[in-house]
Amino acid sequence: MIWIYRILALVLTGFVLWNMVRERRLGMQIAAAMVLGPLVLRILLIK
Amino acid sequence: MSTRRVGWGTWWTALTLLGGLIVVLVFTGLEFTAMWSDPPIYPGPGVTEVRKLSDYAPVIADTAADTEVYILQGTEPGGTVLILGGNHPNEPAAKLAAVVIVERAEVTSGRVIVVPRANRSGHTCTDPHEGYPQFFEIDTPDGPRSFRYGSRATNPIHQWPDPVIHINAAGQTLAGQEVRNLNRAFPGRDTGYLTEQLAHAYVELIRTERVDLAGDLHEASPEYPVINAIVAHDRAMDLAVETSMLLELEGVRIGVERSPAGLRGLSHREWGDATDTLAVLLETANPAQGRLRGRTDTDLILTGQDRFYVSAARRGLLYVPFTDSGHPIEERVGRHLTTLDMLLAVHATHSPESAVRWEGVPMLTELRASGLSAYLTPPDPEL
Repeated sequence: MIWIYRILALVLTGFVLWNMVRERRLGMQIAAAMVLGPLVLRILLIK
Repeated sequence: MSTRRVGWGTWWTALTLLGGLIVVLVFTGLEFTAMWSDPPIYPGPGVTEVRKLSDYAPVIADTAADTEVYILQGTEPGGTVLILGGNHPNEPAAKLAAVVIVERAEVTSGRVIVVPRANRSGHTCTDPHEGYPQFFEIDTPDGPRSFRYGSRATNPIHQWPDPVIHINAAGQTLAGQEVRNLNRAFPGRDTGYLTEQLAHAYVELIRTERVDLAGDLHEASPEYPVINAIVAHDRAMDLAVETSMLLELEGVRIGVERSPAGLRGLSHREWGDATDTLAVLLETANPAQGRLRGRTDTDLILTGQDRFYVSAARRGLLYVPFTDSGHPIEERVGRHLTTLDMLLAVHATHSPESAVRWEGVPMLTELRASGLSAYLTPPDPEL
């Protein structure tokens, strides 16, 4: 079950990361960075 | 022809933000994973065997709920006593009292079984909205001993999501988050949630080891009505009342509450109903858990001093006396140990064939005089 959340978090991370580097509005880049933190923690740290 | 500028962001700002994010993640990640470590407990000379709780309920083997069970077998025959600390891992005196027994007690008659981290999973997280420190330290002559300040309930990493409404194995309807509260999960289910499986394991332990007397150690906020008290199952009322009277004669004020028959899932009710054991629960006053507290730090956990509680006591809002000297950890651990000692003494008079006697456990007066650190094993740097 936990792998479903991990895969979902991985897909979302890739999506946010891709849009972050394409994004040209600094505010949106900052917002994306704030979203990425919990997603990466979800993948790496949550058992 | 000019290019329309849509913002201040470029590839470089994105990469800089990602670099900053990695730095933040490393620090927060290290802090987060530090909660998974639990400083060691050092078995004393009285410990004859260390088992796992999963020995009694294989369903929790290899889960975050499995925990150490310390056996202290006496040389003389007698009964068996179970002592649980850390049922709620945010109640430090309960766990510390169990740790002191593991590290200091030597049983002469019968057998004592101690579980200092009853909800092991709850020790791996800390309620973030409460502002608790993740660890607290107690100085010993050879350096500080560190202990985790855990969460009241099972870590949601290990049991998630919570239902909206939970009906426990005893049929009690509870709010959804109580599904992770070990002391609402008894007698448990072997096929239920992780916390229910854990509760089931304790009932199996009590049955398998034929536990005569079972004590569940807790703490509560000073504004909680059941405080400095023994909560006893109906069959343990005589034992609790006599213990309370004898403690009062020694200057330890302690009340007795009958385990409510209409609130199901708590240790004192379900252990007594589901097994033959005499079940009691002990409460001390921990201002760090209260709603009225001020700054929440290690000082508050250890000294139990809080000016807002002094003010509340003056207005008659509390169920325990509260002065500037507060309720220090020595007093709270000492109350638990002194009450347990008296329970054993009274039980020995009621049932001499199942008497349990121990030595080396410090009482309230000794803890007040020498401090808790005098009765904790100094930390081993290699562990």
